[in-house]
Amino acid sequence: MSRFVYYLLLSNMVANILAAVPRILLSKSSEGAVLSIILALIYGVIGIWVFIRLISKFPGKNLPELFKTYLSKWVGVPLLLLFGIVWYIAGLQSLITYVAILSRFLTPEMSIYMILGAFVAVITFGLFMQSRNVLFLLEVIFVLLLPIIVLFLGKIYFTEQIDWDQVKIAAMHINHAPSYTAFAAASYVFVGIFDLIIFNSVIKKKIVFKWKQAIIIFMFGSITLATTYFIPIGVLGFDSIKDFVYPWVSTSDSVRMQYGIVERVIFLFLLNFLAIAFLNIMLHWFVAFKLFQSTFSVDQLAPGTRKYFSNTLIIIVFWTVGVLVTIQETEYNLFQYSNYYFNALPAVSAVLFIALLIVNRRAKFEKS
Amino acid sequence: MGESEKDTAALAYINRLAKQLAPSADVVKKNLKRNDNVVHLLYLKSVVDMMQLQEVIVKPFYGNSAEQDFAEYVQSLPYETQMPTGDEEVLTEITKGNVLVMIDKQITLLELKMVLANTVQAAEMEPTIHGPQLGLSESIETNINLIRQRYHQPSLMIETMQLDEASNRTVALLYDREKVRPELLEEIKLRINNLDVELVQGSADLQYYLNNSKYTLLPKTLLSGRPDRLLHNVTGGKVIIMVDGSPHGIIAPVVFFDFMLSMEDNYHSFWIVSAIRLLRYAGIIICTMLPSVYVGITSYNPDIFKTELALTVAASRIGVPYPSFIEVFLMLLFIELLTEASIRLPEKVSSTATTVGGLILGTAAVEAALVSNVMVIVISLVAISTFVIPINEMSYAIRVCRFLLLLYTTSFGLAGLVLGMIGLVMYLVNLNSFGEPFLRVAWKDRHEELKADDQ
Repeated sequence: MSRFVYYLLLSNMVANILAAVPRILLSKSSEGAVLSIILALIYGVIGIWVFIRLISKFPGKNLPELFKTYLSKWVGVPLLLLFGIVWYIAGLQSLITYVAILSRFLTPEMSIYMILGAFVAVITFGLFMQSRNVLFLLEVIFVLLLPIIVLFLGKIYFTEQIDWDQVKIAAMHINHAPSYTAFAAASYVFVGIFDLIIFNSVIKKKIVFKWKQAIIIFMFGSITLATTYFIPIGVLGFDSIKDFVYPWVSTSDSVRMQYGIVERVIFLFLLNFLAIAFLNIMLHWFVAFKLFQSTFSVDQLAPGTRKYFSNTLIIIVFWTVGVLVTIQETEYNLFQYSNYYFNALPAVSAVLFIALLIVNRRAKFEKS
Repeated sequence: MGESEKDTAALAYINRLAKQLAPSADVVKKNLKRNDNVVHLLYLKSVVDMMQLQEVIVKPFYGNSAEQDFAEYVQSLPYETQMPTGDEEVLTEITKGNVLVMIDKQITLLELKMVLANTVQAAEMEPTIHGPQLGLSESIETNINLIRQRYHQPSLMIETMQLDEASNRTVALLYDREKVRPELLEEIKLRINNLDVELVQGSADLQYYLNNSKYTLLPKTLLSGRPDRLLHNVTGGKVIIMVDGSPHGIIAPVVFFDFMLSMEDNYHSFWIVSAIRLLRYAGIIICTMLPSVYVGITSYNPDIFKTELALTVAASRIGVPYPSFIEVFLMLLFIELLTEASIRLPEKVSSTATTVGGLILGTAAVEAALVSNVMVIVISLVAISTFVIPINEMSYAIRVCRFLLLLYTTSFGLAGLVLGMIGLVMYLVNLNSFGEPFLRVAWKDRHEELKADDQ
């Protein structure tokens, strides 16, 4: 499996440590979160296996191309539009969460428009990059930042504040029936791999998915989910964990680096995860942008003013909706809508699988 | 009768050429006569080596016994250049230092040029301690000679082309036939042939014309005057473009890491090189980010630092009458002026300028409480780390990036710093140099890497 596929997966996993996933999981901590996480791990690996099996038959082809060749226009275009919206919301949800976190913890006096403004130029530039270069960007940023993030996580695992008894209490709640919301939220960390529906066009080699890859992904997933779920409980306590709006920010703020230039780890944490979250937002919107381009056949246009204006129009719509939704959302709303969004995702992935299955069958049929 | 007609036709031809060159003071049209034998010469005396002309043409002409022998003698000379077809091209050859020799109707071009700029210069642009000390010269023949002498491989190809502009400069492409990518070679040739410029003075401006776009921060090629760097790149499958009259070769394509490589790295042991490289990358990060970090921390989040440090920084800013970003902008501007001034000034004056500017002004500014002490430290650190970058072009680009990043951080705080930095990385990643991605992390060797993403 190309290393870039792992990066796609990792970007979503790391970004979600800070975003909406932990809060949803922790809110269900005495309602079956542990079992949901275990189920989500199994479901995630199997889902990835199915997805890669379906898409690896077409190396170098992305989803819009496949739909165009094998599906009728009346089925393909609405599906692309649906996926485009789903991916757009994925990015938007991360964006809103991060803007909220920044305005609460890093620059409380700055207006929300200014905070959003910092993202606009950079993300817009990112949307116009070539797919190949987006993957290279992912790699460069990961090489620069993952060591710091690993250092930070190590620091937090070995901090004195962590009370492993609380973690054990949380783990004992395995006997509850799993909750669907927690399951959906936990399986969201695996969603990064689905970005392949666009990036498959630059990965020309056939993707191999065997036991080795399955185990690696399972390990990544379980480390991410265990860290996301158990560490805040260990630091903040099992009983009070449900009261925290941003459990991970509070967790990181309880760690000090006594001899460091920067004493409060929270700043390193926020800024590093901001970078990773940015990548995540950009990746999701990049996929959404490409999907919208093929939905409205903008990619068929010859390069020129028309194409330029169509692309600009999509970007303007992206940002108008983005800004309007961001200033509207309250924290409670965001939590609520994130729940709905996560709940809908397994169904969307089922639709994607079915569509790909049909594409596969038609491709096989055409060959014989 | 036919014979003499041909003779007059040939004479008319040489007269026509002479007329086209005529108003110029250095045109020489000479007839050598001995008995019945006549040899016509046409050349520009400013570019032709007189001594050689005397030795090769004039002396043997008067020393030889028969004319027939002399014509054969001229044709057997190793100096002969191929005769081009049109008038225009012949004239170009003459302006390059060729001598047109006409014996009866046989016309030959002999290359007897005199190049005064063929002394090999010290490699001043990228000095090293352990590496070779000499660079290239300003004559393309000498340069090719230098390269050939260091790389004895039959696969080293040298292709000359001629630019289609006022100076009609010779451009040579050097590459290793077994290592170069054919598509790359095609594209470089295409770009050189499609150049639409008035005058190329040397490698540096040709480099920017080859960029293909007007607004770019970094060149997509690298300029180097060191034969060892050029050859290092030839073995990596790159193409060297040399321009006559310039002591630099253009290396294409390049990636970000080429700009961070000093040739010194090849001449030291592994751990020393690794440490120096680490230092260099630390330098590039410091000199891009430090001014912005200062603004972000003092103006937006003073609580990032541990209490003691935060207090130290705040205490040193007591009495400074304006916000930190104005302080940083002023001091950065000041240091840029200083750097620029010391480059342009003659060496003897420039040390005075730096002393007055750096030491006296810096101290005075702090004492007058116009800037803080910490600011002066930050700025000096930034200036010094800029000089750690081995390639000049990169350090210029970084100086510009620094201001952009500062602007972004001033507007958006520390989040702006992180996003701005990612923006810069994005810009670098999205560049490409002759189809090669400019910035990417390569874990495996080149061929494996190309296979890995199958581009």
